[in-house]
Amino acid sequence: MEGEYDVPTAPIVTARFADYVIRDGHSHGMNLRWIFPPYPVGWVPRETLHEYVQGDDPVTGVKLMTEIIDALTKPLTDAEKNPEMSERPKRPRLLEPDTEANLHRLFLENGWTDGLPIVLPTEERVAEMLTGTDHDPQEVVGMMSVTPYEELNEYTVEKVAVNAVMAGARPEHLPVILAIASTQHPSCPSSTGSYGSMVVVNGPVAKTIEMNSGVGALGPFNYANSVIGRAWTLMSINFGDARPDITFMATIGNGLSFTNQCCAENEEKSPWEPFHVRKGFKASESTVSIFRGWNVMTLGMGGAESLLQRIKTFGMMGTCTFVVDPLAAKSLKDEGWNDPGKLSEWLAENIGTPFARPEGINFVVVGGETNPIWQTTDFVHYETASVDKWMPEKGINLDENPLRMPAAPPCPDKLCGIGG
Amino acid sequence: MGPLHLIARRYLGWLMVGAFMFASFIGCERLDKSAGSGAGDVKFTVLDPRGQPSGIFGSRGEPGSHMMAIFDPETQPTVSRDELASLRMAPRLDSLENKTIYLVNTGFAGSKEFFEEVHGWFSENMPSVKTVLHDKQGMFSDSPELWAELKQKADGVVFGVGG
Repeated sequence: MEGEYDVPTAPIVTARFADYVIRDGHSHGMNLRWIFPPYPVGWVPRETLHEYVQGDDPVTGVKLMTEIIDALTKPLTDAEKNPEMSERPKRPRLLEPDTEANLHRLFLENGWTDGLPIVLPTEERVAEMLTGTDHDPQEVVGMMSVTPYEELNEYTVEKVAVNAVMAGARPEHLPVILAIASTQHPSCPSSTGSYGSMVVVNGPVAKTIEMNSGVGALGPFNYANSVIGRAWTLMSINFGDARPDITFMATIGNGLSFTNQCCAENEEKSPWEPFHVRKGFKASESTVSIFRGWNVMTLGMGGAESLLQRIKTFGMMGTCTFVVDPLAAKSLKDEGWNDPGKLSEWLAENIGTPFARPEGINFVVVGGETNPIWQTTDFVHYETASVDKWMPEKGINLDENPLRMPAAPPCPDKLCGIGG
Repeated sequence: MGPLHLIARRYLGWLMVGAFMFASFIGCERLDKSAGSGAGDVKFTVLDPRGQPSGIFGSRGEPGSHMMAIFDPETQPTVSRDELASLRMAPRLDSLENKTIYLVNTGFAGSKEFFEEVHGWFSENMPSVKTVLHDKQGMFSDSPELWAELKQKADGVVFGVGG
């Protein structure tokens, strides 16, 4: 409005976000004349709003209406006519050498971690991690910010490897983590509404690195699921520059953000085409699919009518992702839904909101067939990206004796060891 | 069986335990140092985990693209620091007397009612100012018709209430 339309403007933002918008304006070279009424403005009595307008801006102490008039009429200062942008210094590749305890403290106190212990990214460990791909360590993978308007941070293959080491990952996980990084989506964007995310892996790589798509797939029971999902959040913190109450404003936050519901789709047990095939990839390709929403709202059982009822109950505006146990998927197939895309179309037509689109309703088959349930989420599918692009020519670089958490052993005698 | 043999038998177990503990102690120390844990004042070099400032801002797509291009997933932000530096503020009005000021409610909760209060204040205190209450359609969507209307009819705009 100011620069392109030549219309003087007085932007009003509540005092709670004063620091955020002042900094945002400065970083864009604009000294906007902000006006800050007290917080909150929503869901307060009308008398309170009356007092806000009659009263002072709590940030400046000046009468609010005087500020509005001044914002539109006071001549521009030299600084406003010639805005300057402060330039952020380039980051060093290596940090100052220090003791292990001090480095752990440095990472934690600088907000470079998720608050849980990390593996320090020494040169040796990062070099080892980089054996997980053939790509040049200095190749730029992408740019990211948790806020839509702030300066984007660029990251290389090496930076991704650094965060992968911190997450506790091994070289075998790097191609999947690079694929996630290539989407340039932070797992925890700075919405006050407190986003959560999900990442689902499809294709042969999930089996190679032994991701969990069965019992407890979304829980803390699989090494690959845990470290890959965690690496996404560490990258979001460090590349997306997520700093609470500075750049990251999610009022409650989201517990899903620790490992982002990272799992593989249970392609073996699913009665449908794999998710990535429905998004245009070949079954032989490996991919990551990125989802974003807020909540895993409830579990449910039953057929298409039950799914429709659940969407209507939660008033989800027509976008959702159902995480479906293979047994539930088979039930839906038995009901006649051979193609989940057709089911999405039917749901979109019957939800009763003009916003509903079939592509906004997705199905991912995950689970170990211990209960024919589906979980209802309000997640939207954002992007599916190739993992193969980041694979070494020789294939996934597995350790000689790969680390694995316990999985259910084969049980041909039906006693599973109990009978000795 | 000689006496030496008997002594050896009596103490062999203890000797073995001692040798094992000593070896374990040496081994642990080496393991700790190589793993970089519990090594006291030994210093390590680690890599910086943060992204590099790019000088690229996610505010707009290509110059001339629609104002909400950032929300279009097919548009990669390409606004560089230099382009942003050219953004400027509009010249200010001499006064608000007899001017048309749009009060644009961007859609956050309470904004509509807040601007009704602002409208009331102008009516009471500066009646020559014509204020136009306008509700923007969609908090996060582009409104080219509104922008055109503001350019044509508004002498000034008050936007809000964010947050």
